[in-house]
Amino acid sequence: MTRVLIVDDQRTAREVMEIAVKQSKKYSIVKTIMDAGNAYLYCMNGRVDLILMDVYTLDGENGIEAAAKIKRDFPHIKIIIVTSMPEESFIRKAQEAGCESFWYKDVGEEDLLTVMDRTMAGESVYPDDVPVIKIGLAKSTEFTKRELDVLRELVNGHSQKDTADILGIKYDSVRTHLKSILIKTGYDTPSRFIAEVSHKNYMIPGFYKSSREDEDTKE
Amino acid sequence: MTSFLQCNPITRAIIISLLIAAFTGLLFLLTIRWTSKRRPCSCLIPALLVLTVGIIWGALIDAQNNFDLGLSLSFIGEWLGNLPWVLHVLLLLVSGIYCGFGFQRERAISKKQITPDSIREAFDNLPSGLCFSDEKGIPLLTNRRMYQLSEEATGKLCRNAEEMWRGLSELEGQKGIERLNKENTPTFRWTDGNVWQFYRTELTLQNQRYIQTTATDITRLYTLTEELEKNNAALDKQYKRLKNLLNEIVQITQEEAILASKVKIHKELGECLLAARRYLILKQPEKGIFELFQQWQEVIRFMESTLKEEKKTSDYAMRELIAAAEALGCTIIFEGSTQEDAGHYPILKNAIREAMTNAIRHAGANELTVHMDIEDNTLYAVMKDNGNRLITSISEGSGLSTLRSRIEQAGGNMEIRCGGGVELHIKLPVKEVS
Repeated sequence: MTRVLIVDDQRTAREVMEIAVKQSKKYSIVKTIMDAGNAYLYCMNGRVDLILMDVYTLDGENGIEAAAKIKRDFPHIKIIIVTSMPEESFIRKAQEAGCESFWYKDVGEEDLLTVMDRTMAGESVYPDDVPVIKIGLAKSTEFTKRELDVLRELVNGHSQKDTADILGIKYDSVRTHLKSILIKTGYDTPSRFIAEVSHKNYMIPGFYKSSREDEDTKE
Repeated sequence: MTSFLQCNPITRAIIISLLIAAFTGLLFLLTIRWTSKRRPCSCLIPALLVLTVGIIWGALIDAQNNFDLGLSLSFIGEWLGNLPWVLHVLLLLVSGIYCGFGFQRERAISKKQITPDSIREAFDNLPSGLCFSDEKGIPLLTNRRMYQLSEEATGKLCRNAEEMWRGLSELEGQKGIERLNKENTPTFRWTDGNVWQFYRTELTLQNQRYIQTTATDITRLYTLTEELEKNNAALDKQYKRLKNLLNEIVQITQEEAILASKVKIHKELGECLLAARRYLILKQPEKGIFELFQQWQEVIRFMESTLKEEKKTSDYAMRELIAAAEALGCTIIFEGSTQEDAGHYPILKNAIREAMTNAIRHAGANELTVHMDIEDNTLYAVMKDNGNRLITSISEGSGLSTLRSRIEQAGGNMEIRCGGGVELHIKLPVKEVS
């Protein structure tokens, strides 16, 4: 019997997962919690084999960061990241954290149980790509990496000037990227566009920094 | 062919008067060329022509006079008079055309050439104000605009550039002239609404120092700058609003969800009540009693679960943490004068979790005491475990260092004291509840 820990702060999502796990005879639920930070404590017990981990949990606790910590100290525990947010960085971050699998709640082509079975069999199941969403007139795949960096800093609430400083590029380049984004999406002001990006959960304010900053902190 | 003397008197008179005109014109041209002293060679042709025309003219008058009075003609007069009149007209034409071209050329040259007067004229027509002076401020060249501006600003005629500059620098504004900056490039808004900026530069020419004072009309630049500043301010405001919005967006979404469920409860409860009323009073059951019962049950269940979600998330999270601790066999005890989180509950929650994790893993503790006090707008929290293993030093892992940076970001500090047991001391400023 595989013991499963469910981490999700949305009631409906929790219930969906609980029902799915209860249906199967192979799995039993250890506990359902809302705060990703507490997952580690349950792992210390040594009674968990598999975690279904949401990314954005109670109080903005980052599920992927919690997963990375668990993976570091308890590498035998398998983790499936479960999310409904089409955030562009999640898949990459989950892979970096060493999570076995990744499942989109709403658009997952495969059934959760199948993903769990395959994961327990030693497979790593990842979706091919982040679901494509539409922001204004543009698809999310149309943005370049640099544009995404600029965008992420703006979504994090930095001004254009600060963005330039953080990314280590010129203020004019930030403006150029922004202009290009505006042309692609067809919005007339950055504010509307940024509001749309965060509203659609393509990027979550303050949740992750841009990739450039990550590289810096690694060094 | 008819000679000059054979022509009728009127034709002769015309030819002679035209010769006078040509002579005068050539004389003028010669004078102009001579005075401008440009090319001595260019005076040669008009001089020769003057001479020729003059001689012919004199001779023809002589011939004419003698012929009319019946006196014997002079030799030259007779010879020239007997030449065909066409030759004289030809000479006239040649000198006339030469004169025309000559004057034309002179005019063109005089337009191109830089003379003190042309400099003065150009200088006065400049749209900017300009003044060149020597080191002592004695003006060497000042244009009309500069005179006008300095007079309007200081109220007196500019006799000394140094004085004028001092006057401008100290001028705070008067008679509708408004000073716009305090820097050493005085900028004023003039009575007509234009913006003028004054500045000085030093020039060195042949080892001599000169001072150039310039007044530039920067109205357009200034209005554009003003507009830019206004736009930037508006942009900043937008960013601030956006920042606030972004900070709150998660909460707003949650509140929206709660509102939606409230609306749903309201609607379903209403339906239930209506159905029950129909059943009880009007005794017109649309549904069976069992169905009605089921509907009531659903509504109540839904209401219960929603009410649970609606409770403060902080209570929820703390309870979950305590439950997780108990699952590990560790009890969390709260002590101290307060249970308030002072607006820092996510940090406190993390701190308690971190302290507990370490206490269980390293110290083998089964009890964690959290002591909280608020004094002088500062929250003091101490976390202490009852571990029985002696720990003398701690190396901060990622958990503790993340916690430390979060606390420092919130304006507080964190201290780890090792001794009997490990104590985590946290100081945080009380956050104003907005």
